Amino acid sequence: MARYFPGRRLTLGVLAALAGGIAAAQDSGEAVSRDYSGLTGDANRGFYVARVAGCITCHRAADEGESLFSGGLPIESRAGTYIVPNITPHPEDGIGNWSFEDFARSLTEGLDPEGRHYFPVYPYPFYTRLTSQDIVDLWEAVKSVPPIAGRAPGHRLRLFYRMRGAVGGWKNRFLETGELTPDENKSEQWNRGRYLAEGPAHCGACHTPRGAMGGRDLSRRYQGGVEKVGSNGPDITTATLKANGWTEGDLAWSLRSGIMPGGDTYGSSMAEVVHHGTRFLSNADLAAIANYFFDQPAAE
Amino acid sequence: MKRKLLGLLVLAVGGFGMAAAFANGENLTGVAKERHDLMEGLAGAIEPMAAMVRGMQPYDADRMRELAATIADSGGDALTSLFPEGSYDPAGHALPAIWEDWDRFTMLADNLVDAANAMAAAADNPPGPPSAGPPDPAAGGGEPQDLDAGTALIQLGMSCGACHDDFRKEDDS
Repeated sequence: MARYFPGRRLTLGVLAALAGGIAAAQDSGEAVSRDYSGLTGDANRGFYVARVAGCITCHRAADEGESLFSGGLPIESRAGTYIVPNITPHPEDGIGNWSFEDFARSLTEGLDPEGRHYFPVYPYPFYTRLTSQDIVDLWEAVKSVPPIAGRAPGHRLRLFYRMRGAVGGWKNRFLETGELTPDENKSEQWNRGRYLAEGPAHCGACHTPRGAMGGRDLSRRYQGGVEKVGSNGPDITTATLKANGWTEGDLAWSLRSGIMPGGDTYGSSMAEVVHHGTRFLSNADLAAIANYFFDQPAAE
Repeated sequence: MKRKLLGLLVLAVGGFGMAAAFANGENLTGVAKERHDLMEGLAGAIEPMAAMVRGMQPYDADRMRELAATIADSGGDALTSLFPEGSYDPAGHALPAIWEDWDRFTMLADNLVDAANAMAAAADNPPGPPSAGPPDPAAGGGEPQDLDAGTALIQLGMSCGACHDDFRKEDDS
């Protein structure tokens, strides 16, 4: 199956839109304090998280074949072309010299080991929702793969979008860190689905519209992202899904198979999301995601 | 200024009209219409297969085989012959990338035939509950020895998606 989906390129609507870097000098808010003590990571569970979270989808090579976590894939966006980095344990070209704390902080705060901001094309605004257990598991998975030499070339960004320092201001405005608080009025299944959708699976990265600064407009959550190069993330609000005749079962099945009601299949980025990610999820998790999308909370 | 605004309005209205026609292929003609119809036929075959695999309709191995054969007959040369050089039509969904990467397009059209034949061969193994599949770090891997119909259909769907990924223009939401 791998031959069907060589690396090619991913066209995403990700934009590190940092209009002007007005708030560039500001700090990026307080650090997230998390306690990882007493947790033991499991690489197998970590690979599962890496499927859900799209780590495997994005951190692949640009050419044919599946070089796990090698990076190199170009991601095209309004900001220009991002090149996905190598996250294998290679000491120079990958993240072999990182500590667990470095890794956890990159996911939850979008900072590299030197404290520099990552562009939010790296979906840390979602990964900050990851449970501490999932982070510990992911770390075991990432550490366990063979190191691959080769450093990704630099991003090719339009001038306006190159200001890494401005990301700090962007984070102040748009980054809300930390785990989600479960909604006790909803079922365990719904809360699991919400965690997956709002956290690792980062559905809103493409399906929630973004404002001029590239932050998601949560008052229009899942109403469709329109900033994409090549394709749009359609409206997947509960009302629209129902109006289009979808059922929870249809949604879960489409995430397993790529096949939509009516027999058409997903194309563009969503085909890759299914191929590299969601088709590996458990039935329970697919059902949970579908349950959440068919009972979405009112917009903020 | 007014004229400019009017022009924009005309463009916008025209754009909506085109987008609407786009969805159902209404104003396509000739070979662009033919390939649109072929794709509709593929979806029309996948839909009942999915319904059977999902247990929404009684599972019928013969019908699965027939539908898979329909798809196999529509793949390969039957498919690529509807995309002659120079037949790009902006009103349709086919992207110019098809003619820029013709080798890959034909490979994927052949893969569709293979996947449909594998589907037909698996028709006698009705699916259990769709397999959750253990997490597989190696991504992809070899084809299973005894494909069940559910897995075969998913692989068939993936072969559709692989081509749509690169070569189909997506409708806006």
